[in-house]
Amino acid sequence: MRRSIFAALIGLAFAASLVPDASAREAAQLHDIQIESLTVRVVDTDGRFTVVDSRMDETATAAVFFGLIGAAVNSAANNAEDDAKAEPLKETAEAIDLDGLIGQAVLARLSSREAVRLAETPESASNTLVVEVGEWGLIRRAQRPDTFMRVFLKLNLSITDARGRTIWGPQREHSIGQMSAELAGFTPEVFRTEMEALAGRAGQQVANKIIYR
Amino acid sequence: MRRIFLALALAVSISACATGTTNITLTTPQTRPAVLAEAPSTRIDVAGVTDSRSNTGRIGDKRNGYGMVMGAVGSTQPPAAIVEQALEQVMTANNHVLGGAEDRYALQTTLRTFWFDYKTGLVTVEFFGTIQAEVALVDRTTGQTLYTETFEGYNSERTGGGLSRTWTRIMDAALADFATKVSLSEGLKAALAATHAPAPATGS
Repeated sequence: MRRSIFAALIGLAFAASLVPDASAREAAQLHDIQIESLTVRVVDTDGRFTVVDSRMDETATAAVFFGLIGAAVNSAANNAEDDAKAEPLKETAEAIDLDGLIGQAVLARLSSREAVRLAETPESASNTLVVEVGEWGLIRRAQRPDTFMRVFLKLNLSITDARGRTIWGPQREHSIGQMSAELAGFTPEVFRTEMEALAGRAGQQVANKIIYR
Repeated sequence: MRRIFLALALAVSISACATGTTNITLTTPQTRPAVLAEAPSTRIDVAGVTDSRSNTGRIGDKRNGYGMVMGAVGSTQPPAAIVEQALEQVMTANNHVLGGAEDRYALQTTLRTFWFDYKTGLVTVEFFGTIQAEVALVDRTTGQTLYTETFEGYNSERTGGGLSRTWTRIMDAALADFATKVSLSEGLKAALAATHAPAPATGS
């Protein structure tokens, strides 16, 4: 019995040691990458529109009083509340071409600078900048009593070489909108305008990270 | 009896690490010249940062495996001072000149978030650091706010675990990301450049 427990602990410690120290690797490599010609690929692997309002106040309180099951119930309740808040904006969200806007902004910024040469075809590129769209939507600015929301967008960035091997990243990139308002203030039109502006700004930031690396 | 006493003493000393406040010392990030360097060199006062965080007593919570808050994470320097130093470094790295209270242009900053947290999984721990602040360029002569932008510095890392050294690295990286984002701001660059534009001619 003791041996089994010991072996399990060793196994867990070994598994933990295999988890890469992502930020250290990024910091070491981004400055060093020599890009001859670049192509950009925006992928929507787990991109999901969401509203984070009720979930913003989640703390360990439920876990303290009710144990893990209580915490799970609390989380599910908050998820349901946030899903209901997202519902009026879902149709608008589906109509936003987030990938296209981000891709256009990245390319526009990169092509305006000589620091990075864009490849004529994806096949001829020495490197590919992969921009994965993660969660996006509306998030509360802070925990209560703050009730103001703003748009947000999560991206994962990585660079691959000509053989498709990842040589930098993934690095998480968070962007937030400039307008803050109550949830009701985000009508479909306002939400769309803010989200599209943020996509453009985030794309520009991504390109700038490469240009000024 | 002695064994029980030793075990209790050990338990108390270990739990003290988890329940007290651990203060971490952050390092001012060394940003590189970027977008802001494309604006003409401007003399600017990086005025004091206003701390508007909802909880100014700590910068993070120490949690146990169930998510319960056991202790606090603090910083040896006030977060507002840390952000102010980072902004000063951004301005000087981008060829701008730090001024004083008598200067016409100033960066006025409101700190909204400066938070460290982590989520414990089965074999890994994911650490998060977030720094969010509104940075405004103001003209003291006219009292006008020329430009405002909210920046968010963020860093997350999943590792097998970690204590204060890891927490420091996470927050240092979030602070560096914040500084980089300010340094890459097209809007702030344009606003700084506009301060050098000749005043519009007035009709006689």
